[in-house]
Amino acid sequence: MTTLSPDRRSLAAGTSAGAPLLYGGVRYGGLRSTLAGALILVLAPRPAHAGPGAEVEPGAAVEPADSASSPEQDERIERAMAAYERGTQNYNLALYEAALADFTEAASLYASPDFQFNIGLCFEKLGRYEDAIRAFATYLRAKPDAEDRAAVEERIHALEDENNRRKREAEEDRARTREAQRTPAEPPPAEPEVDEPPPTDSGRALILSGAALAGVGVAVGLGGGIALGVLARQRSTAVEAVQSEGNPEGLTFPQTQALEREGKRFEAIQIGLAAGGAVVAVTGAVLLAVGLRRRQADRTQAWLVGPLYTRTSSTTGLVLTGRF
Amino acid sequence: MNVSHKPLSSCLFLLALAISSGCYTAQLDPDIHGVFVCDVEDDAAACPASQTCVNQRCEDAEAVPVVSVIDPEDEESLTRDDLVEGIMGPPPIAQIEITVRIQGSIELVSASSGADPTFGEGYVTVSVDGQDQATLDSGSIGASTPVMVQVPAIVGAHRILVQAFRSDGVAYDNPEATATRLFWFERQDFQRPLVAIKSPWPGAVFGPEDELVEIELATRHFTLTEPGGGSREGQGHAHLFYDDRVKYPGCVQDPSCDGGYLGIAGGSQRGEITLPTSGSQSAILTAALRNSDHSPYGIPFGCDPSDPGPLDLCSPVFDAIQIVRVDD
Repeated sequence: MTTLSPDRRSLAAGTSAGAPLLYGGVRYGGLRSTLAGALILVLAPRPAHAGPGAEVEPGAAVEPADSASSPEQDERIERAMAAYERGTQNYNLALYEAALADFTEAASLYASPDFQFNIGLCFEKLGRYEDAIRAFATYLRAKPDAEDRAAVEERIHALEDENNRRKREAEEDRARTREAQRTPAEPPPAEPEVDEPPPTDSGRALILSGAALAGVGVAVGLGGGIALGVLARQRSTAVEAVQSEGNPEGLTFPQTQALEREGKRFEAIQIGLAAGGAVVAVTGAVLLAVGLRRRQADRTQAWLVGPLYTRTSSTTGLVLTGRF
Repeated sequence: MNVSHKPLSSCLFLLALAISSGCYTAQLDPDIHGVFVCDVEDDAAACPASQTCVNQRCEDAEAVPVVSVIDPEDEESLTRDDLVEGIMGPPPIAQIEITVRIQGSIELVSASSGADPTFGEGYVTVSVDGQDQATLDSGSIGASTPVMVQVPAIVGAHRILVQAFRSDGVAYDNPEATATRLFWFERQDFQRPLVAIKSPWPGAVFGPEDELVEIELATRHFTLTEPGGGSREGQGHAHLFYDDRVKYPGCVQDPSCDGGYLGIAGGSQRGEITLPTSGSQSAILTAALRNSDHSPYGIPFGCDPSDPGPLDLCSPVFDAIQIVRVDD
């Protein structure tokens, strides 16, 4: 970034440091009475004329004053000088806004191109380059033969360059900002986010329990039924062999009775297990069916109302979602 | 909703499959005969109430074979003049034919070893003193049936055995299928004391272990009394022997042998001895009459059979039967 080198030489340098210099190196305050109405007072706050050559020769009249000065004019001059002094002090104190106001007041009380130069300096310090350029340009128009024209023009160019650079940078920043706003990295600005409650699956528990019950029921019914059915069948076959095949195993009547009791007991247990398993399985199947029905209902008819907020905006409201 | 019906129907189908995979379908018929194995000595192998154990099978109790001896009567004395004393010299060759009347309920059929026997059918044999005399395999013995048998012409006890057999030759082992009858042959002109072992029956089977056996005696012209007191004719007790070495009448002259009796029958017809442990073998049970002082009872009364001398002048009174010891 190009920075303008402050040139406060005309302000700081002087016979007495920090004191504004009257054009021609005469203290305005000491000569007020003698110069009033006669001398052409050139208020030269020793602004930043670029280069010592810009200094006005002492005693040289820049602008012929109105020979017929009036008290009002004196007062204006006096006020202009006071504003000039304050402006110089504020400038030296880096109070550029105040200095600008003071120099502007001074310029409004007494038309001097040098006041514009000093105003330009203040604008420059304040970073208001366009205003500074206009002030310097006014200075050059008001003082066509300014010895420091070249330096001031160079200063104007530098300010213009700096101002253009700052404009470009600002434009680039705005372009980057716009581009960044369009990139996906940024969250979609208009996408509302609904504070959805946790997804509800009212059928899940029923499905799980139903499936578990159905599995247990089928396992008990099948396993117990088949196992005990086989045992009962074995007893039945043995009893039938006793009675119809001549009792090849040589069983006694009590042994055969025991076989029959065992067979009937196994059959009873088998029926019990099968019935119990069937009841459990049917219960599980019903629960499973209900759970599946609820899940399907949740998926097909679920609607949801929730609060709406967005991250990128302060939009709030309610969102209604679902399938209808 | 199909998804709900599918698992339900599947479950029901599987459960129905489980039930139908096996179940108890037999129906035990307690009235069926000849099927159940049984053991008369084991209550755990008993038969249903309406059946009885025959040949280790439960059979209809009302259809069991039954035989009985009607004539001669129990311990009936048949007197003949042509009888000889059995202990006197060699056994007589002469046989005396008598008529035995039997009766029973069995469907008489011929023996056929290859056929499957039918309970209640079979044939009946009649034996005397261990010798088969007749086989009845046709007709009927529902009424008193005479059977002619030959009996050795020897004074003393003779035994008739009537046995029902299945058609395959296996004897029916129910008590009703066997009938025994003990009778006496006596001389008309000389009636003397006689003794016989009525139970067990010759050929009875016992196990190898020691066993207390009740001995039932039958006596003729002799009263069994408790030992003690003086000797009286026709009165005394009996010594009971178990040993294959006891061979009367010679044993009566061997004190070590004669003194080895195991029991006494006195005061009643019954006595007890304990069969010693034995292997599979036959054995002899002997009952010998004794005077009250335990001396051998001799015929004629008052003689001493153990005293050396001509045996034909003094004979002991005894009965010996053969039993069988077998392993289980």
